Amino acid sequence: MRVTRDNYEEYALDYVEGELDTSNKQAFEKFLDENPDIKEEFDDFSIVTIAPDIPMVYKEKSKLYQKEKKAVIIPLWTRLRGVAAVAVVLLVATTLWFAINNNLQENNPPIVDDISTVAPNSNTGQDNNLAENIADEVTQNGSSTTNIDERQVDIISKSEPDYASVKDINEEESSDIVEVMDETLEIDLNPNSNQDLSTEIQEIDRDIEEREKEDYRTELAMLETITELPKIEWTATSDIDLSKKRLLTIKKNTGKSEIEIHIPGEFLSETWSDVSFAQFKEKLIPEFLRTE
Amino acid sequence: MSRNDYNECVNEHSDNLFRYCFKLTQSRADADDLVQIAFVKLWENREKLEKVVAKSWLFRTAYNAMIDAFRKNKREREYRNVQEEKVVENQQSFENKDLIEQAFETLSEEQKKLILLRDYEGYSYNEIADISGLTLSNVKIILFRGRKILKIKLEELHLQEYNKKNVS
Repeated sequence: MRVTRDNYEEYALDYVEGELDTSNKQAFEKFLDENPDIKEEFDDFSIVTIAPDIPMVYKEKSKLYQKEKKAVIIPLWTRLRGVAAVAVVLLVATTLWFAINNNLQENNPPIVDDISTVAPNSNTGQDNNLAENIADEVTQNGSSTTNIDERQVDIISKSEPDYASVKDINEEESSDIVEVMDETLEIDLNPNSNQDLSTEIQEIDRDIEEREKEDYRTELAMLETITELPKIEWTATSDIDLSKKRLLTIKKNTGKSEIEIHIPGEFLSETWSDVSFAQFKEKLIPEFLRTE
Repeated sequence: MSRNDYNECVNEHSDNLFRYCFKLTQSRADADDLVQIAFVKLWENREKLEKVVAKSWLFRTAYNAMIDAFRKNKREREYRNVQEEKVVENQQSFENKDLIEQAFETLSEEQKKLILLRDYEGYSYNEIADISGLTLSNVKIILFRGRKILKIKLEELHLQEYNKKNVS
């Protein structure tokens, strides 16, 4: 160890405290002999220590402690109950939503009579062929209706691609539809089907139109007497219309000359039964073309 | 370090840490803040630390927090020290303050911290170097200079006291 004026402080404490080994101690003392001004510092050097005060107590220990958090045990059935409740609410809401949507669509029938400018639906042609085949089968096989019922149901479901939601309607409603279709099949199964069928359709159309007119009149009468009509009543009447319109659609699909049109979009939000061709044209054709 | 180990550290070291901080800051509120900072950091780092090193870790954290606080309030503190020195000079003859305490107050912040770690907590030079982040040589030099100043200051104060008594 070489002690100099620059590094002697590094060894000074160890020297005073007696921590230097013999060789280092000799080297340090030699340095002090060579530097009397520094030696004066060590002649009466005593280490002044700072004694701790009266023991202090930190009174805020409670702030520092980390207590274990008690885990709250939630029974499994309680959690599942919540999930089940949410699931039920969602299910009901979804069902209602679909039901309301279907009602709105059914209130706006996608069929427009005698509009030759609109292209026919491609699916309808195929389904019409199938319907013809069934009719032929019926005429050949006599009055057996057992197998045809099912096929007819398939055809109906295929011939109504825009009414896919029909499948989502609850079983009760769908069973009603099947019953209605059974009635129509009885008409179809008549061997004189082609001519009778068109007359039947016309009769049913007339019947429906009359019923609608009657409904309309009664609604008007109700509106005159009742200022605020409950929404539930409207829904109920529309349900009746729904079944009628579906029947109408089915019958028209079995015919050859009818055309089915579905016009998607906001335009269907109005009641189609009251829209004349002139109104239809006015709504569809842009304004600059109409003026020309 | 487990939760129990941590809580034991609170019991074993919080008093010493508070005393150390209070001695340096001369403020219970500041010392309380420093102790809480140190223990919060200890809790946050409990998974990395063993209980054996917790004490030195706490002192190191408090030491660094103090340095940060001193740096932030340096200007204010310097002004306050100047004012206090004037008051002390005027009141020396009327106060019966412990001479060592007075001598201690003349040291620099760094000298105070290291001397307290040595004298209050009994840390070795190597441990003080670890806590303060200084080299071992620097620790010894700073401590030696601090001790020397203490000795000189005490001699002066004793002489002043002696003279006062003789005059009175």
